[in-house]
This record gives sequence, C-alpha cells and structure tokens, in this order.
Amino acid sequence: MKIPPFLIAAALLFWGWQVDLLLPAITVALVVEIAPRVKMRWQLSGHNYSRLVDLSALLFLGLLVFAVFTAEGSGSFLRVFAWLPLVMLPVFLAQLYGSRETIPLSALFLVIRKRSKKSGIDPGGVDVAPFYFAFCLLSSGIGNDRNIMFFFGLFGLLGWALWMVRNRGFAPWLWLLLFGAAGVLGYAGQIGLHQLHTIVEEKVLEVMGYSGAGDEDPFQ
Amino acid sequence: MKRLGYLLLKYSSSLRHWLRLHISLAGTVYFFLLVGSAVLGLDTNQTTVYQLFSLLVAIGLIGFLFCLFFRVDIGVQRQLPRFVTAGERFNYRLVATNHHKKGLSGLVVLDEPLFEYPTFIEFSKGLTTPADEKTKGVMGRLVEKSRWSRLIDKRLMGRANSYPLDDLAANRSEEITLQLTPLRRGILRFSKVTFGRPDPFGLFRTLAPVSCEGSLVVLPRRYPLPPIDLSGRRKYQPAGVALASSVGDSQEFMSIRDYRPGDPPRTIHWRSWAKSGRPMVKEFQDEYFSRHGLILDTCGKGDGDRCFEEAVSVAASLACTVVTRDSLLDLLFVDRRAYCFTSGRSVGHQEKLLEILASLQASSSRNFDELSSLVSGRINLLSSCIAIFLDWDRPRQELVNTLAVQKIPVLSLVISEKEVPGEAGGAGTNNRLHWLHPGKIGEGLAAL
Repeated sequence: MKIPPFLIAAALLFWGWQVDLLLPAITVALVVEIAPRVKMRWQLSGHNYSRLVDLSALLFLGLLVFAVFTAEGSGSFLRVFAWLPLVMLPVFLAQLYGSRETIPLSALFLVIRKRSKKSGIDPGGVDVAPFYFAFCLLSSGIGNDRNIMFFFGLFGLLGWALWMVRNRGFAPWLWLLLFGAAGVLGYAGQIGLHQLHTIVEEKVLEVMGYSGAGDEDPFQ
Repeated sequence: MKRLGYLLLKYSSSLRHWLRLHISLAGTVYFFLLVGSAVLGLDTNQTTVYQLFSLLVAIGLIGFLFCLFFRVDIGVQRQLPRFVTAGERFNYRLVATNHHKKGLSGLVVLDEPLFEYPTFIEFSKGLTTPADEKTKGVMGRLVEKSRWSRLIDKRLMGRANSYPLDDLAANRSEEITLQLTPLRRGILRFSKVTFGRPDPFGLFRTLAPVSCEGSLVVLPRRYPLPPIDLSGRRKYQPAGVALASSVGDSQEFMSIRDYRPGDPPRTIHWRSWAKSGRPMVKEFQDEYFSRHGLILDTCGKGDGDRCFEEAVSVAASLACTVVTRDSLLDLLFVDRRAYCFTSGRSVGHQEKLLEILASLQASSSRNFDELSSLVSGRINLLSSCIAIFLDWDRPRQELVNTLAVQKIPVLSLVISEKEVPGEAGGAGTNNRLHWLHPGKIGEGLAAL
C-alpha cells in the first residue's frame, strides 16, 4: 500500500491547523515531502532503528508523566495525544531517510527483537507511513475548535487515502456515491453520538445526585 | 490445562490467519484508526475525535455490506514445476476460467500451500522436560507460545501473496503468473485456490475457495562449494557399473566361464550349464573406478532441528558439486532402516538424490550403530568419504577411525551449535575435520 505524494503533508498541515501548531507542522511537512527528492540516505543498522523507536516511546512516556503531574482535568491530559505526530517523527524519519524502505519489526516489538536476536533471522519490516497518517488524523481532533471544517477535513483526507486503495473493479461513480453516502451517514452519526453522550452524562449525573452524594444535612 | 492451552493457541493462530486473509493492510490501518478514535473520542465534550469514529463506522458498514454478496463459478488449472529449491522464489501459472454468465472484475487470487496445525500430541511432546515443567504461570504460557511458534514455523511450507486478476469476461479464461518462496524442503501441497474480492474501499476481502489440488517437491537449499579433492584409490567394483546399484537382467558380461567357489549364484548361466553339464557363470568386465561415500548422520534432536536442516543442505550441495562423470557417489543414511542411494555414471541422477534428501527426517531415537554398520559393510567399495555429522562423540570418531584404518580418506563435517573442541580427535593425516555452525555454513564451506 503506497501512500500518495503530499497526502501526509496535507494531513500534517490539517493537524497543525486544528491544534494551533501550524509552524511545526509546515516544517515537518517540508522535511517529509522532500525525502523522495533527496538522494542522501542514512545507513542505519537494526540497532539504530531500535534506538529510534525507543526514543519515540520515551518521548511519549515523558509526555504522559508530564501530563499526569500537570493536568487539571481529563481534557488537558488528553492534550498529550495532540503531540503524537511529533513524538512519532523519529520513527517516520528513519523510514524516509534510512537505508531500508520499512521499519524492522524487531525494532517495533520487544518480543520480536529478542527472538530475532536469538535466531539471527530477519523478521521483515513494516511501512509505518499509513500509521503516521493515522496518528495525524487522530491527533487533529484533540484540543481543536469545534466547527464543521474539522469533519470536512477528515472526509477529504480519508477520501483521498481510500481513493488510492479502492477496488478498481467498481466504477468510479459508484465509489464516489458510496463514499458520499458514508459521509452523510458519518455526519449524522457524529451528531447522534454527541447527543447520546450528553444524554448519558445527564442521566449519570442524575443517578449520582439521587444516590445521596452531595448536600444532604446529616443533622436533619 | 495443557489441552486448554493448546486449543487457545490453535484458535488464536486460526483467527490471526483469518484476519490476514480477510483484512488488507488498508483495513489494518482502518481498525487502528477505529480503535484509536473510539478510545480518544469517548468524551465528546473534550475532543472531536468521535467525528472520525462516526465516519469510520459508516465507511466500514458500507464496505461490509458489499462483502455479503459474492459468489464465483470459476474453474482453475495450476501448472507447477516438478522441483523447486527451498528459499528460492519460483514462478508458476494459474489458468482461471469464468463459467458464469456475467463477467467478474476487481478480483484477487490467493494460492496458499496446504497447512495443518500441529496435533495436541505434537504440541505436548516438548513440554515434558524438567525445565518446561518448572515454568508455570506467565512464564509457562510464554514457553508454550514460543514452542507453538516453533511448531508452526516447522510446518509452514510457504506464504502466498494475493495477486490482482484482470477482468474475467463470461466463459473466458485468464492466465496469471504467481510467485511463491518455499520456506523449507519437503513436499509442498495445494488443495485449493482462493478468489477474493475487496470491498469498494479496499479494506476487507470476501473469499471464495475453489478446489484445485497439486504438489511439488522442494529440494534442500544448497550452498556454493569450492572444488573438493576426493583423492582415493580406484577400486574393483564387482559386476561393473550395471550392478553398482541395481539387480536384474541389465548385466553386461564379457564371456562365460566355469563356476568357481565363491561366485554369486545370481551369475550362474543356466543354459550353458544345461548344455555342458557343469556349472557355468557369466563373467563381467572388471570395473575399476572411484566410488565416494556421502555419509549423512540422521541421529539428531528430531524433526526441524536447525543443525539437521543445515546438514541436509550441505549434503545436497555436495551431491551437486562432486563430479561423478567417472565415479559414483553413494548417499548413506538411516531412516526407518539403512539406505544407500547411488548416483553417477548414468546409474542415477542428481535430481533423484536431491528428491530423497528433500524428504529426509531426523530422529532422536535412532542408533548411530546402524549407520556405522551400513558404512562398514561398504568399506571395500569406497575410495573416499565425506561424512556429515551432527555431533563429534565417540561412535562417530570410531567410524572415522575405522575408515582411516582402511586407508580411506575422510572429510568430516560436524554441524553443531557447540563450541569447537580444543582437540578434534579421530582425524588422521589423510582425514580432515571441519566444524560448521548453523547460520554460518556458507562461510565454513567456503573455507574448505
């Protein structure tokens, strides 16, 4: 599955726009998109890839610890996940600028790392580009403003990505019709989800209030 | 408990395999996004990720609906080569004929080799060692999982990829070239060809298997070898080349002479006896040529043992390298009983030797004495020997000494993960001993 050119740059710009990190997003998008046009490549060994994955993991853990100690509520704790594209950047850059076209599985998973060290057999690699795209989409919905442009942005980016992997046995007009229908359903669904959440939250608060937690005077 | 563990492992492997067939890479990313958006979008007041979740559910629902209605009426013919080599990719052709009234488009073909999960008995065989018995709890589960993975790896002959099929018009045939890399030697069998149709978004695949059996022989992997010096005396081969490895009527003989005590009864020429009234035998042209022995030690740890697999590969490499234009090569090993297969001088072909090596199994219950007896029985015929051992213990050293006493040069190759001992006993002036480690066989052989 090959990611089309500029899709990840578009996802990064969308993310930067949504979470107010446009300048870092533009910088990273440029670095990502010039990679195919640059001949320079780092000669990375399996050990180097493992260290870069460990670096991303440590960055993420560091952010989590920071959030736990400084967060004032669940919203600010979740804000940590808005930084995912930057946290995962070392791994993605290793793939773009490294000598391999994929990240070794042994670098990503400890169990496979130990097994391949013992057996000496290369377990193969995985293309992390689609997952980096996914991280950009997920992070763009955290700490952003609520407006319809967010949904349209998701719709556009997902449509672009799915168009590249569509089954060419179906006519393009049918695909567009089906994707449009998914968009309408999805939009109605997200309104319904938000309303459902509001209703459930109110009911839960009602039940909690009813169970006696709160302002009762014990002397009366 | 062991049976429960076995069932859990078996069904989780089946599930992973099912997911691999039915969900594409785009589908994997889709589920990754779906789960991530479900977790991060739980609180719709804090984030807007729930909108992504809703859109993904709608896309998945529509894609899934298209997977429900898929039927095929396709005939298949597979054209396989007879032999392939382990670890080397090969191409083969598949001809698919659409018997349906409507054309089919957007299909993919998946031709997976037949695979059967290990039985419970095979699974529990290795869990009887004291070390395994001691590892209980979480570690015990990890040991079982690791053992299960090794058992699966031993049985897996190859992994197929999916290939797109061009539009298949009604009542028309389409030929497609597929590629497969066999992972290990043996018989590679097919039972069906699977046709799949991805949904419009390319996330999921609905499958329709079509029965189509086939098989081929996967020969052992071979290493490049330097020229091997098999200097040895040419020896008298009774009854010539024709009787070198066969019995029957294909005997070349020079003349008839009187019977002498010790002549094999099989050479009696009955007609001449009837005419002359005294026993007469067929006299064969005396043949002197070199006959080399390739001794393969099959008394190892058991099926799938890495050292044994490398030993078979080395034997296969030697069988292909040793020039047998003017000599014979005897492959000597023990399977259910002792075997000797001969190739060279148009007696047998290399391919047959490789085919035999492809299906050899090691066993920990075999006795090395049987192999020793087999080799000892043929000592008078052999000019030189190459012995591939899985260990360098006393019985093996004694075999090499026995050959050395008969002035038969021996090249001993010991394939073992053990460290090279300080003193390699048993090797004489005419004998060479080399240690080869699994994973570094190529380098070891290049240094011969």
